[in-house]
Amino acid sequence: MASFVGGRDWFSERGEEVGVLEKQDCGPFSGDFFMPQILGSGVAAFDADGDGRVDLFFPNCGGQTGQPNRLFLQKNPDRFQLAPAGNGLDLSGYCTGVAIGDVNRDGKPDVLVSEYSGIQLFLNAGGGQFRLSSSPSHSQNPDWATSCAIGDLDGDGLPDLVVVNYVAFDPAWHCTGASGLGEFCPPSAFPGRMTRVFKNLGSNPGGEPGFLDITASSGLADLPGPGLGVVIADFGGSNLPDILVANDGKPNHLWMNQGGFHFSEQALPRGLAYGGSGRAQAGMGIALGDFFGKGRLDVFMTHLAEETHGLWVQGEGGRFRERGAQLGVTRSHWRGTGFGTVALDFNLDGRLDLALANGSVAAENQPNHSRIAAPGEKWMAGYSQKNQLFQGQINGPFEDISPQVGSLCDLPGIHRGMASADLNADGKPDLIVTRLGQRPLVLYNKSENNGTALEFHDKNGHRCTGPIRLVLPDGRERILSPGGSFQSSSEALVFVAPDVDLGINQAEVSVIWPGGEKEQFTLAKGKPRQVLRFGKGKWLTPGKGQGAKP
Amino acid sequence: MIPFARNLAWFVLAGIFGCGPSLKVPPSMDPGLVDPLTFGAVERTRAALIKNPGDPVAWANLGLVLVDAGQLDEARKCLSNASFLDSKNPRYPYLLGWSFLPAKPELAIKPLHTALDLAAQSDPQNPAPYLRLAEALRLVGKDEDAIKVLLAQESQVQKHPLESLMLAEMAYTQGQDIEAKNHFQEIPDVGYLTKRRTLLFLLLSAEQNPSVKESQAIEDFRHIPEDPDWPDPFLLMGKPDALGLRGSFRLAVAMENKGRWAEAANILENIWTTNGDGRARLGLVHALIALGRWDEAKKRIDADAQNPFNPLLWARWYLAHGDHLVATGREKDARGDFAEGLAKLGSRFPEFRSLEGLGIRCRLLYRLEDWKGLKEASKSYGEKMPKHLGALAFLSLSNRHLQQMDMGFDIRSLRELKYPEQFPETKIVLDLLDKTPVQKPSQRKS
Repeated sequence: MASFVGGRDWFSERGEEVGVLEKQDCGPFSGDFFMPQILGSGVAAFDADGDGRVDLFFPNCGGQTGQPNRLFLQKNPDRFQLAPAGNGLDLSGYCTGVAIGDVNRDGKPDVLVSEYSGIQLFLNAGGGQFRLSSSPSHSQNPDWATSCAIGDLDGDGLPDLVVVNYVAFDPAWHCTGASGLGEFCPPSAFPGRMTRVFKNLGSNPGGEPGFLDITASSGLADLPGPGLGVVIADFGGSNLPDILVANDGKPNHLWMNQGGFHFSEQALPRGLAYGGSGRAQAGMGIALGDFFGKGRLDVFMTHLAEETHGLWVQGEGGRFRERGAQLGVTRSHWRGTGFGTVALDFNLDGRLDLALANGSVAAENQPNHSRIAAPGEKWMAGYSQKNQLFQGQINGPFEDISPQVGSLCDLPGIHRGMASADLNADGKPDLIVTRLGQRPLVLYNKSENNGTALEFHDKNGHRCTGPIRLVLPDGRERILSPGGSFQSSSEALVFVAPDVDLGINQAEVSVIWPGGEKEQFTLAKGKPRQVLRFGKGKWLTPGKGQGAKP
Repeated sequence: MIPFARNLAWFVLAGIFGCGPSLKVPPSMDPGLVDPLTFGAVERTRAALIKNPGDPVAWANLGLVLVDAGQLDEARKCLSNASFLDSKNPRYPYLLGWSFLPAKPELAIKPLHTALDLAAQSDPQNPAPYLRLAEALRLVGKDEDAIKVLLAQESQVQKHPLESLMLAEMAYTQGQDIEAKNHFQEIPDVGYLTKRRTLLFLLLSAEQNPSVKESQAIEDFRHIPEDPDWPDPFLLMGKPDALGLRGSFRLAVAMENKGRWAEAANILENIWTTNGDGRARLGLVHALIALGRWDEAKKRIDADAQNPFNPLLWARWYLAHGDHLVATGREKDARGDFAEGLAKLGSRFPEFRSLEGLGIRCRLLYRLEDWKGLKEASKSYGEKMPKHLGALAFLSLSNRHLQQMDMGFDIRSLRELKYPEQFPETKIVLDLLDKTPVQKPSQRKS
């Protein structure tokens, strides 16, 4: 097996070279500490125009007079072009998060954008054009929405919407930091808001779907946030998708799907509500993965720099224990307030690694901060931090290798969103990281190991976004889940390291589809991109495969 | 050698040979870069240090103020100097180690080890050094070392509640549930560990009995207030007169929690006048109202007319003053106050901070016996905060007066509430309902 040369960077940052140049706009700093400004916005990686190449979408949070959202289309390999004005997504506002899913089942990915005071669903009209859907209406989520996700929560084959809301922010409320000067308020200054769910009522393929806000009847209204991160996955082994919400400074919420669009909050008894020392932490971004090869889904969550990031390991019965400190994620070269995070096998050695997008929310936690002395664009320096990358070790804790990965980790910035994609279709996971006031980082994977990116298609040949579990020959799992990270949406792929994960020439893997159907596929080595289509493998679930709809 | 002479000798030696830490008093802070309160605290402690630069206590005091002000690098220099000047005192390396927690726990370990070694000689009964060291070791994932540190103390000092809790938490994390339970049995129910202790109990119970997931115990747990800081002997030695902004806030909150409103008011007034933080403005008015210093509170609210919370403060004032009038037999005047409070809230109170406003609105409407208005307000309250027992209580009450619903279930929930102090509205309703039991619908029909 080829291996990494010691000390070599894992990525190459090529944003400028490939044409992703526009800075992310979070508005000018006017001294009023408008909270949405510091939380910034995320990124989505998906094929917007249906040409087979992944494109990038960046919401902007500069307000109505700020820069519009940006869609970059990859017209030629390794060359992105800003989509022309009038593409439908290019609206200005306090846009924060983004989720991708085919809500009207026409095979084209649609875009849900969350905002400070609203949500907007854009239907894909093809060719890189989008139109605003009338349902759900902007006003159906009047709160400050952060992360969002699209997934079929009730098994009817229609993707539903999950919108995480943060706090009832009052722009007139003045907060100060430790030095006594003005600072962005902590979430504790305001009441938390509830996560909302919208049931997809269906439509003709390509038509305008209807959505019904069923938050109250689903049970999610019972416990408000403040929520920042969300992921949809099966946490209970019931083959029903559950919802995990990372709350900022409050216990996390794990909404276990009881069927029929009813959810029961079980983060506390399942061990996911609090950190290992029994305290609620500032939950921001989420990454899921079978980190220890046990065939179970574990949870990583980013927190403040002065806290420790959380790694919850799943045990028997769907219960988790937080063991981040024991598993190395607190032993780092430097600390940061983590937002976006992605768990993938970046160096393709068979072990999941962890990438973190860091950036502070309080300037005075930083040494020699310059915000107060130098307002204007320089204020951001006070909040800038360096990203981190933890390498998954065989039979050992994670190891912080950030100094080695300069492309991702060298430059301080206010990093927020993070998404993965296979930008150049080489089968290796690449990363996109948003930075307030700066152009995004576009990081191409430089691993010398082989990689394979797996797409999952439903029976109609449309791309699935999960939740899907891929079981490798030795029982380890790779997971595709809607949501995750922070305000971002990764390309719907599962990456495997064929040299390690699949054996010598080919291997049989199992796919557990969203409805629980289990199907076996044979993966051949040497192909960087492979498609696994529902019903085209060998059924492992008795009685399944006829009429089932992932 | 007497301490002063020894310190003087160190100064001379340090100056001549350039060895040891820099004992140069930190320069004055730029007043434009900090709030006046912090600036004042730093200046006071600096002045005390300049008067007596050989005094380790003075160095430590300045260090603590600087920690509060977020000036950690300067703070650590001061704490190192205190430690240098009184190398036998465990408090100074302890404070240095504490300053590295929680952001850099790996750097806290060495000074905390030093503190533990020194305390073994001079202050062996003090639990702080070994508890903090164990905490630091846990934070960097060295649970085994943390356990060793904790267990090594057992023969020397009485087991501290936090020690038992940490041992239980670590055992649970490692999957050793029986051991976790054994340690758990030893944790006394002390106020500063209530939440963490209950959480551990629930987690251990859930491992054995999956039905815990749905139990009332979980619901109750959500209402337990966050644990306060544990009484750390080394931190409690801090001098209040040197407090900056953060320390002042902490002290004010502590005073309020103890019902010592006058002291809280003094501290908050100082914060308000020097810093202008909105939280201090609110807190001070609350304190003055609680003290019944009506005119002062009124002046404060009046002087702060631009504060977006102003209508809420007025409503709070009229509610409390009206209650005061009722208590002194002036019911008619009280009704005027309640109506005025309602008018102040009016429609100017925006949606995004209306939770507290709705709570006060409900209480005013209740006093005015406006049952339709109360029903509407309590429904809005409940929509914004589902299952809020205060909202349920008022909804129950209005429905009962409007003869619309049987509220038996909600009332049972209210009676079972374990933390009524968090929901003062429920007390009002319960008092009333205790006097006039609710009829079942069947009884009402007959």
